[in-house]
Amino acid sequence: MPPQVNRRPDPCLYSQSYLASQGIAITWDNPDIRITTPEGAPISSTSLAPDTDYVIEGTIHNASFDPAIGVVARSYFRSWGIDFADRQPTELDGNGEPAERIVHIGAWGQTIATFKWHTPALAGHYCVTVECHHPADREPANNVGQENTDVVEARPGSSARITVPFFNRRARERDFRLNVDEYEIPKSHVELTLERMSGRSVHNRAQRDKNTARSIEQDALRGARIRLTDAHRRARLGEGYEVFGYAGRSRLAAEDGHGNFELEQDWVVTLPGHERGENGWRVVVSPGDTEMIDVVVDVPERSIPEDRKVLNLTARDRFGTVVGGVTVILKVVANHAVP
Amino acid sequence: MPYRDVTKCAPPGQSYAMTASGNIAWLLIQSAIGGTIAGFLGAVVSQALAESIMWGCAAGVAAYASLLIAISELKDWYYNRRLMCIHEDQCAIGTLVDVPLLSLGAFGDGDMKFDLLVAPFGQNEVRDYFRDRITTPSGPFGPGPADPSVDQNLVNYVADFPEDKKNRLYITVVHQDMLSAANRASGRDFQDHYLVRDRVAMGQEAYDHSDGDTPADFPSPNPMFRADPHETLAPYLHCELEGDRFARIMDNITVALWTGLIALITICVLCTAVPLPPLLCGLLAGVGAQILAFLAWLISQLVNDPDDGIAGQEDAGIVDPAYDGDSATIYPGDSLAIHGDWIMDEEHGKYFELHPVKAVYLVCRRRGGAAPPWEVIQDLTDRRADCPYPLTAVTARDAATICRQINPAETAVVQRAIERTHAQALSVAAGLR
Repeated sequence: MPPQVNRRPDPCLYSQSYLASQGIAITWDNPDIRITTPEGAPISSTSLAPDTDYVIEGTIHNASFDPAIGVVARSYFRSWGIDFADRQPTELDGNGEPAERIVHIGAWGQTIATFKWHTPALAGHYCVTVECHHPADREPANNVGQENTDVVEARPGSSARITVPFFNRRARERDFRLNVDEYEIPKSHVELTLERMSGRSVHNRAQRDKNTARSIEQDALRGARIRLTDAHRRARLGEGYEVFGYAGRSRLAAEDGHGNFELEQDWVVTLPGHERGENGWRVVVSPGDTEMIDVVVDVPERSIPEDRKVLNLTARDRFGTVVGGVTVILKVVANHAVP
Repeated sequence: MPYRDVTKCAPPGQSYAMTASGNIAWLLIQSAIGGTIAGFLGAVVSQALAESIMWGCAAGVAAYASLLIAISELKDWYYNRRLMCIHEDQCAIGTLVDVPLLSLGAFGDGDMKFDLLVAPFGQNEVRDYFRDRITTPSGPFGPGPADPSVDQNLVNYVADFPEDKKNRLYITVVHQDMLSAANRASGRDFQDHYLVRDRVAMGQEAYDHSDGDTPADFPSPNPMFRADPHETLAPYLHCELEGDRFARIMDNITVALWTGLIALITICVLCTAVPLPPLLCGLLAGVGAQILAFLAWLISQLVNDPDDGIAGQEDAGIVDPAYDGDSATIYPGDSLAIHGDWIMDEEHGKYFELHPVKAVYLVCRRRGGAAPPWEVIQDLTDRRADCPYPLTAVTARDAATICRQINPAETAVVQRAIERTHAQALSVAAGLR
C-alpha cells in the first residue's frame, strides 16, 4: 500500500516511559487515568476500599492527522511500587480474558475507554495501567500509561518515612538509580500551531532520491503531517513533498524538561542505607526479589499546614531507561494531626 | 489529498462505454473528418507555396492529424467520460478478500485493484451461505462437490458454473442469504448499497443510468458487487487505487505524433525550395517524419516512463506533506476502511467501484497473520496475534462513527492551530514537531 494512501494513526495516552525518553519530566499521577465510583464520583487511587466496585476511565488520544479506527484499550492493576510484574486485568470478558474496549478516535481527538474494577478483598494499594494498541500505530512507544500515587501526611520539621516496594522482574541482579523531583503538570493551556518544516521538505526527485528512506522514516516517526487543501493538490507543483506538523514538542521539552524540577533546597530526601551517586540513589535488587526501600523526607520547619509537596520517585536502569516510579503527595498537617 | 486522481467521473447520462453503441465508429469518424480537413488545408497550403499539390504531404498531414485526434479523444474519454459518478468521498468497511492486483500489459492503466467483502459479513459466513445453496440436492445449484467441507472444492465447483448460473447463484446468496429478512431485521444491512442497487443511496440519476440487478433482470443483470470464484467465493466491492500509466502511454504517443506532424510539414516546406517531384517529396517527408516520431517516442518513454505511473509505488510527483515514506503491506483477511469516490465504470463490465481510492485505513490484522513490522512493547504481548475487532462485530452505529471520523480527516482543511491543556499536549507529544 503506497504511502500516499496509507493512513497511520497514533493512539496514545500520557506515557511516562515515552515522555522520559524525550527528556521530559514525568509524574505518576496520570492525567489520562481516572478512577470513579460506579456512580461517577471521582476517587483518588490512594483512597480505594477493598472488595469494592470502581470504574477506570482511560483517556486515549490520537496524535495524528489520520483517524485511529479500531483502537484496542485494556486496563490492568498491579501491586503499588516500582517495576512489579504481577499485573491483572481490572475487568475480564466472558472468556476470562482481559476485557477490551474498541474505540475510534478522530484526528487529534480523544475518547474515553471505561473499565470495571472490583478491588481485591485484601486491603492494599495498587498501581493502575491503561494500554492501547493499533496495528498501524505510528508510535507504539506511547501506548501505556500508569497511575501510581500515594498520599502521606507529615508535620512541619518532621521526617516522613515512605516505604516503596521495589521489585526486580528480571532474572538477573539489577542496579537501579532512583531520582526524586517535584514536577507537576502545569494547569495552563497550550496552542499548537501548524508549521512547515522547511528543512525537511524535498522539492525535486533527485533530492528525494538522495534523501534516504531512513531520514524519511525519521520524519514519519516524529509523527506530524497534514493533508493538502484541494487547491494545493490541484497545483501539483513539483516532484517532492513538504512536511508540516503542529509544533510544540521542543517547547514542552524545554518547559517541562527533566532536571528542571529539583526539590526546593530545604526539602531533603534521603534513602538510608543507599548510596547517592551522580545519577541518583543507587538501589540494587536481586532477581525476583522485592526490596522495601525507605524514603525519608525531611519536612522544612517553615512549611505550614495545607502545604503540599509532590514527590516523583522515578527509577531508571543503568542505561537511563525508566523502569517505573511512584508519585507521593506529601501533605503538611498541623502538629496534632499526625499521631 | 495525496492520492492520484487522474480520472474524473462524469455525471450520470454523460458517461459512456466506448465499446457500446458505435462509439468507436464515432471516434473514428471524428478523427477521419478532422484528418481530412487537416489534409485539405495541407493541400491548399502546398498549392500556395509550391504551385502544385503535394499529395504525399497532404496525405501525411491527414494521417497524423487523424491519429492525434483519435488519441486525444480516446484519452479524454478514458479519463473524463468513462466513469459514471455516483457519490464522491464515500466510506466502505470490509475485509480484503484477495491479493491486490496491478493492471499492467501493453496498455494497462497501472491501477491497483483490490476487493472488499463489506462488513459485517465475514468470509466464513458467506462461504456457509454458498455451501448451503449448492449442496441442497433439490436446489437449482446442487448437488455440490463430493466433499463440500473443503473450501477449495466449493470454489472449484462454483467456478465451473456457466456465467448465467453463476450470476443466479451469487444474486440468490446476496439477496436471500446475506440480506435476508433476519439479517436486515438485526441491522446487518448497513452497507447493503454496495451489494444491491438502492435508489436512495445512489441517487435517482445514477440509479436510472445503471442496469438492474435483480433476478428479474436476467439474462444480463448488473450486480453492485463483483465475484471471482477462482479467488474467493465472497461477493466483493471492487476498489481501485489509481495509476496514470495509460495516460503516460497516450502522452508519449501524442509527443511522437506531434513530432512526426511537425517534421512532415517542415520537410514538405523545405521541399518547395529544392526541385524535387511532389511524390518524392511526400515520400521523403513521410519516412523522415516517421523516423523522427519514433525517436521522439523513445525519448518520451525514457523521460516519461509509463511504469512510473503504476499505482502502489511512492508518488514523488505530488507535493505531498502527508508523504512520509511509509508503505504498508496488507494481506487478504485484513480489515480495512476505505475512503474513495463511488462510481460505475461504463467499460469494465459496468463495475461499481470505489475509484480512486483516496485513503486506506488498516483496522485490524487478520487472525494468525504474519508478525507485524513494528516493535512490540512489553506490556501488550498477549493475544496480539488475534484480531480483536472482527468486522462481523461491527454495527451500523460503529460504521457511522468510523465514517464520520474518516470523512472530515480526508476532506476538511487542517486547522491552523489547536488548543490543548498542557496535560493533553504531553499525551500527544509524539505527534508534535
